[in-house]
Amino acid sequence: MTVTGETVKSEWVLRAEDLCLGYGRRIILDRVNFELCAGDFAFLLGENGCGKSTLMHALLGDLSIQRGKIHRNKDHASARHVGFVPQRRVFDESLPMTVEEFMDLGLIGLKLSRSQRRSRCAEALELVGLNDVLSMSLSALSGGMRQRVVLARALARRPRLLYLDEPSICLDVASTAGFWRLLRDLHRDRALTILCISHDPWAASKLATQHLTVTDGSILVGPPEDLLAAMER
Amino acid sequence: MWTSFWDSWALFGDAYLTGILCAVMLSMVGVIQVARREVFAGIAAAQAATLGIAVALSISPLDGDHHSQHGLPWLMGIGFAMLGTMVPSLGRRIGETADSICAWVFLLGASFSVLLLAHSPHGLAEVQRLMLSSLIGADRHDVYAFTALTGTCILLVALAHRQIILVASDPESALAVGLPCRRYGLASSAFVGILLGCSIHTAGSLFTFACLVLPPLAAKSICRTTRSMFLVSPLVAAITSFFAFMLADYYDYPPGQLAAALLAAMVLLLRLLVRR
Repeated sequence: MTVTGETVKSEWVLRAEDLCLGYGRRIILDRVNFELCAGDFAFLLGENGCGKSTLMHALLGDLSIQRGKIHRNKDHASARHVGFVPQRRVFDESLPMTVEEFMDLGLIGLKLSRSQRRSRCAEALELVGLNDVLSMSLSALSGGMRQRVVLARALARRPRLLYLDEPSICLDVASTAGFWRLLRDLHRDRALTILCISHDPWAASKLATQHLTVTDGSILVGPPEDLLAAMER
Repeated sequence: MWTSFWDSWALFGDAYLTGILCAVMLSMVGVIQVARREVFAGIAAAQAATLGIAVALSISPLDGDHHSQHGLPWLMGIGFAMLGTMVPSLGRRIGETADSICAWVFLLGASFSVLLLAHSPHGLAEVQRLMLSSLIGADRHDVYAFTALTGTCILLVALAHRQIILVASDPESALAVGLPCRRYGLASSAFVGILLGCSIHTAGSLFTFACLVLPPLAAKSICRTTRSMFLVSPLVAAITSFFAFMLADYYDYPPGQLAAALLAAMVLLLRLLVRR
């Protein structure tokens, strides 16, 4: 934590500086500047196709940056400190996989023994309210339970920074509400820094400490109330 | 049947062994293709390899002694197969679906490989042999080469199966945990290309594609984990190929086609019998 005057500012986790992103000559986002601080719950909002996933891909390191820089605090945002919850549609449900195998894949790169990995998985599943599912097939779970397993896989890494890519997509109303409640509790209890792409206005208005709104190839940054006021003007 | 098969071993033993090693190696690599949902890239790469061999034969036509002229066709087959396996990612970059690009490569390879050698009787016969999938020409050198390649596959899977599965099935999460997905993708395409190129040169395109795709699909029906598919898929491939070679010898059928037919029947049977 750094103290500036009377305000207490948390340590920065992720910083985008004059970022320009695109595919080949096609520029998708330009002059993107934002900063995430420890404990932020940021929602990345915007219409379909506006560049939210492009930014997520750049943050994950899947996209070469055309200009500018992404600074990652090595104590908060290096690969070993990052958890990621991908969109549900990326999974091939016909591929045979138990919950244990699925969770275990999320612990790659952490140099843990098999028993340590197993206990981390069980602990993370308990955290999201799922017990005794390790040996179950992933495809046998309901959509809501599967999304909790995906979140548990990210949490098993004990992350400091959590990326979520449209986590509530394809979930019914009850599962969506349950998922957001769970995320709110985790954010509060574990002091996680969260960056979440979502189209859910209710969740964004209730949970976010910061909105990043992608519009016209750039990003507006601010606390939810300031941003809404600016957009109304 | 067993006695007849055993008697034929003296003449075709190397061909049988090469076929079984090919089946084991390809069925293991096929698990990656199935997990990547890029099954069709396999047949595109197989046809691209045939085109590569045809290009090599058009540059340096065959004379009567085929065995002294393995080098260039082998290399061109491998090179074109590697290009073929990279096709799906190329498709995504130019905004086309992987399936469309694979179909284009398949049709280009199938037509040009015959057109290039239409006026070269030896060359055309060689391309037709590849398309017909005959294992008869395999010799002791092929057995050694495929033993080494199969051993490399087993070693890679044993050491890095978790990484391989994550990169293939969920590349975004693989990136998030710090795996260099692009490098893994390139290395995997190059490796699959080498295996396909070698296999097509020796066993032909039908047998190669059948062993790449059908055993993993059969394994998918009976396995509970993707990890176990790496064990079950080669087992299915080896056992089915062995029986196919035995039946082919006894009833005088082409072994490549019979193996492909048995594997296809096996996939259907397992789908019907096992409900996950």
